Amino acid sequence: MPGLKPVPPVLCWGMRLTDSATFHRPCRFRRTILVVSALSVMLTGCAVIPKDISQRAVSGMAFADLIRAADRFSGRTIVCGGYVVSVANFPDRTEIVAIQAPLGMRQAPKSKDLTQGRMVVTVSGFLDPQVYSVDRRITVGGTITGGSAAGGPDRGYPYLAVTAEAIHLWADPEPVPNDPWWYGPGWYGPGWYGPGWYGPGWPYHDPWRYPYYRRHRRP
Amino acid sequence: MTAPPDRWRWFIPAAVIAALVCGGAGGCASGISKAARSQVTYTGDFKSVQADPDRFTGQVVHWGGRVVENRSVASGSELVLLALPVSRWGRPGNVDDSPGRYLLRSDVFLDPAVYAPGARVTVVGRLNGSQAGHIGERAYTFPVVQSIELKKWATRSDQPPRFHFGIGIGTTF
Repeated sequence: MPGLKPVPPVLCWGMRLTDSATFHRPCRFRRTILVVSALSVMLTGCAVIPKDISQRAVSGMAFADLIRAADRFSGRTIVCGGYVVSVANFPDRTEIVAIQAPLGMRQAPKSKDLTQGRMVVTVSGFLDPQVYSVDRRITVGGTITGGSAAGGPDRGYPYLAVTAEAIHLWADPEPVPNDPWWYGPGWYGPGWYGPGWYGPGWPYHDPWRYPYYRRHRRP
Repeated sequence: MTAPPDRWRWFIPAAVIAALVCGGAGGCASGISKAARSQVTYTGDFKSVQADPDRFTGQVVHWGGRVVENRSVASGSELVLLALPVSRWGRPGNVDDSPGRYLLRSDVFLDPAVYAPGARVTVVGRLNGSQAGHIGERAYTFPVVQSIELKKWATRSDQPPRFHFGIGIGTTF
């Protein structure tokens, strides 16, 4: 047929988007859906708390409201996270007090400034306070067992008590180069003295390389 | 002496670079002498030692650690260490991978200002039973290691910066 150019059926590497048959098809909406769903799988698919807990969890409630209505929500499942304040070891369990923070990507706690209260997490067994040290980030999936907006008899702050079924300890953020002469593993690691550094390639010492003078955003 | 044929000329700078790279890599010594490392007899995991410390008495281990507590005793020092895996280069690894705690006994005095809580060490030592203790209110079994050789790794704040850059007439390194 004259006027019709044969077009490849799929989008290929190196092809311009407008060249593609898929782009001009009436059902190009399908591709949008595909991309969006793929993205959402990528973004939510690697959450750290097991799916069955996350699915059961209370959602859409502000943490502060949960604390206020702790009695009513007792027994319900929750996924929450925060920053370790203290760890106490008991014969059969470990109790972690943490500053709650809302969860973001992969259920990681966001900034401490967004806190709505504290959580008291009971984990069966032993967790080392040297590992779960102050300001480490945790995400917990578990059951609400109580709480108080007024603070309990031995706690002077509003808190939500949670018994953990699953707990995840987030890796420490990268060290912050506080002083301008900072150097770390990546600094003297491969690429610095290794090939590509004094080897062929960049021939001189570049003090403006990545970790330099750049702060990682500390939560 | 005749010059190497042209087609081998490229080999000379390549060999120099390779030698530099290998020399640099070889410089990452493990911190523990070869003599001590050759005595190591147990390379299994920490948890099984902790489960039955007496069975492993006499074995020599190569463990990493982070100082939790430093007690000076009449016969030397006693460190409570957070056990850490030892990397290929002999350095103590990530805290998150810690399997537990152990007790290090040393005949020499380890100054609490140097071996302060948080300091990272690598140790070769002989297992010598265990000591019961507590972490918080929880009873805990600390495997005991009698130090043969101990290496303390420098923390960042211990070291002066290796390079200085100055702007002016000329540069300082």
